Amino acid sequence: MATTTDAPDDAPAIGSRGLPLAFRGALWAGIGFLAGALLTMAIRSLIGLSAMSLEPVVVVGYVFSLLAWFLGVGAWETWGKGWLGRPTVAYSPSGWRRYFGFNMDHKVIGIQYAVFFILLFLIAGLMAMFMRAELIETGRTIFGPASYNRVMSLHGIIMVLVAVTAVSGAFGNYIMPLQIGAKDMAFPRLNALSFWFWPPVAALLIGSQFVGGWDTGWTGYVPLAEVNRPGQLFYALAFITAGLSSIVAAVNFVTTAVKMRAPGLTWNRLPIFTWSILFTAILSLIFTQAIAVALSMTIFDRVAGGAFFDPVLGGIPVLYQHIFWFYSHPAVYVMVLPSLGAMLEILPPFTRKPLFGYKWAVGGIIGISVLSAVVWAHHMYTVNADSVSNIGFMFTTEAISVPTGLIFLAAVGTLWRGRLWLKTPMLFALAVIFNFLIGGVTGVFLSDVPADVQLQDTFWVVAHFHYTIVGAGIFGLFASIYYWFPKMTGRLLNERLGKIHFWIMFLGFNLTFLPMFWLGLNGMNRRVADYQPNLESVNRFVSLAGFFLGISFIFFVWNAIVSWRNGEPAGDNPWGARTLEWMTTSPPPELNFDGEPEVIGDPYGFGSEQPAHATVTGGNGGTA
Amino acid sequence: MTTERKDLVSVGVLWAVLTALGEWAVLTTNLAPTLASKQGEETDKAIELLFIYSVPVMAVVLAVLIYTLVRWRVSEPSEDGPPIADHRGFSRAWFWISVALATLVFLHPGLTGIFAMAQEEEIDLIVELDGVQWHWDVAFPEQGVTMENPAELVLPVGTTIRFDITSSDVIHAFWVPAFRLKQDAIPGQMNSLTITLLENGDFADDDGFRLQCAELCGTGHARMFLPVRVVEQDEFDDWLANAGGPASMDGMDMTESTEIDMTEDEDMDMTEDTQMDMGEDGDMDMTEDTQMDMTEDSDEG
Ligand SMILES: [Cu+2]
Ligand SMILES: [Cu+2]
Repeated sequence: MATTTDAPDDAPAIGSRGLPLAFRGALWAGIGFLAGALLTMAIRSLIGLSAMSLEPVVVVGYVFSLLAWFLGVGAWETWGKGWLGRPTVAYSPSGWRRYFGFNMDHKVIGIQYAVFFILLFLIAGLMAMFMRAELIETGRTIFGPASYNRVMSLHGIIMVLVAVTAVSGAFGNYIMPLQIGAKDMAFPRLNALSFWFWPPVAALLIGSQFVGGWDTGWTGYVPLAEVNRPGQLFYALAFITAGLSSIVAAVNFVTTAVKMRAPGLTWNRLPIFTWSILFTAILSLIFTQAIAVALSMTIFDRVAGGAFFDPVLGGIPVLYQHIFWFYSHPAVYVMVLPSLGAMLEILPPFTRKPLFGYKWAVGGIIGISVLSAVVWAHHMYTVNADSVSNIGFMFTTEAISVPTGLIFLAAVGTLWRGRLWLKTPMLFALAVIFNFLIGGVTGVFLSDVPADVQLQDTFWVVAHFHYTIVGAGIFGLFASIYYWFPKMTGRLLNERLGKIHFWIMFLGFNLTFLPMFWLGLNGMNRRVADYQPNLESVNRFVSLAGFFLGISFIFFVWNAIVSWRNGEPAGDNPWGARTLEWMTTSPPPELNFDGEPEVIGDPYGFGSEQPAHATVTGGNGGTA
Repeated sequence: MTTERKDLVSVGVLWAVLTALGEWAVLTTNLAPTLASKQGEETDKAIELLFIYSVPVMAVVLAVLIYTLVRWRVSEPSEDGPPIADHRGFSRAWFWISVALATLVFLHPGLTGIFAMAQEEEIDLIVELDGVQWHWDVAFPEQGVTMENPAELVLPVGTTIRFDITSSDVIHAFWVPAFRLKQDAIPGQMNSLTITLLENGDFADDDGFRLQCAELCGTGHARMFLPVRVVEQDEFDDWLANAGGPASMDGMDMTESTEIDMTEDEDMDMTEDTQMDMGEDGDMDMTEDTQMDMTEDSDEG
């Protein structure tokens, strides 16, 4: 395989003028879809089936269009030509164009992820506003149960994908290689590939709405998922595609963290955020295939006459749930580990203290990852009367509170006697601790079988997972944005707007989700467009608080746009942090460091006479 | 006393105050809605106990958060904090206390609750429930009574009932909030749930008395609920007799299934609620009238 650097300097680069390559990709994808669709129709009529059958045509058409999309967006010139022994071409446009094609620079990919997922987050957040509008009073308010279920399902899957991907996609890509002193990720092409899976995911989710959407929520439980509208198929294809991206990205993260660390960066000097990304990637690598299995079986049942889950033909509906949660429980740690890692990364510079109990915190991350493999059926206490397996899953689930407690140990210990410097990233990091505390403790109620039989599938669950996934995951995303934005753009986010964003988001979030615990205890089941009249006043309060929460993001978007263009210049290290990403310019040069980084000490040696974490030698900059 | 010691004592006091306040709130607030079943007592005990356990645990983190924010907040850090990278004793104590707490939660209320709920009871009545998009079909096999989409489910107080739960199409779930327990209704699978009823109750007064579908099953899911009334045995017998089958005639072989005749039922207004007809586009069929009926019903209570 030829590589980009093999290409002669005068080789014609692509994507530097004309329409961005993403448009060509879309065109090729359309052609690919037509080819696949026509082929399917032809084969179907040859073997005596009706040619015009939506779902088989879509499945095959989509596979063709996905391949064509990658080639069109730039993988052909930069990668595919090499397979045929022809020289590959560089993709290195400057300015805004570099974000709209098959770019292999991890810093470009990090920003692609960040912007793309913030857009998805805002869209799915808007859907939540519509859901809360429907629930502001009993009965039909704005769109009724069928549309509610569609919007709820779309909100669910988009937010799950955002939570699974945003922090690791944006900051795992941009920051992790810098933190370990690498010049790029181990597999730059796979890295570009992992990002360009996402526009097809978005296209499928939008497309699903033109064929009626789907109404199973993000979990896609069968048999409902096998008897409803074709939108369900789009959901399954989108989720599988997202899973492929996760796996491809995970291979890259693991290899990079293991093999590309700078000299001297031993395991016990590895920054905690990199630890969290490494274990997140290991979880993705091991478990994501399970979701592809569950959804492929669903597709097979829907499209090709399979009966994996059809009880009439001997299938087992509960089997789907086992495979689904075998992935989806570890996935909740894929969602929160990077944010917890970011929180622990942010505490030392903003308390001016070393990370407390570094080894315990690493042990916590590893312990959570290992145990997350054996807890999945805590989502299924009510599927059968067999209490024996419930006991086992109750035990493993409650055991997870021990490594999770170690994360709190590190946080609490670092705060103690620190110099609390309450810049916006620190406020978000503190909110992660507070929210995750509530999310974690309320999860123990759900792990307890006698309590869960009442709380399962109620708003208690809704409140609990929003406290973990939004309260820790998304607050951690914003902590990361405020912390690393200066590194990525060279400019600081506006502190005043940041604080307004923080306080509205923090208060709005807690006012929205705290009352939901009460709703769950008082008989409000989840995923409903309507509820009993005595729950109306609390629901009204929750809806209004939810709209308040929604407002906070206006301040964020405004802040991000204004600061990116005209923000105060950040300098190399605005927070006085010690890890390697702060020992290069903001933004860093193409190969990340002006010289060779070498790690010589602790990443969090605040307050002591310890040497710096690292030096960068050989370039023009010298030791930082 | 050194300042370090003072800080530790102060945060300890703060922790004790927060814990006391929290426990006071937990013990004086009744968070649980009406409870009508024996097995549900375990659920309520478990939830209350878990609240009691949670308070001191949460108070540790909250006390440190509050104390450090008040005590050590700086506007601009002029110097680094003390280089405390670990504290062997504290970290080990933290670890082992969390192991002990996790074990405690597992043993009690976890294991004890599971065993208490699984206690064998003598079954007085069998009720078969079949979830159908989007209503419940009910049968009393011993009495030979079958009800397709009934207007309400009446059950005798003071008896132990075994619910045999399944589904005809997609997954639904059995949940009567006042009974606490939940059990999925899965096609091709029969799940049994034993519940001993201790209290009378009526959906008209308390919406905890409703057989609510608790697993997303499509458009009609939210309103897939069947009003429940728990009454004295003779009232139940009358209801069952009026419903079409002979009441409490154990041992009689009733092969002929009897369909409930809605028009003879007193609770006419409920029929419209439970018989929502979800057409192609479910939204449309949720008429204003149905919503109105609902609101009126519960206002009476
Ligand atoms: Cu789980
Ligand atoms: Cu349902």
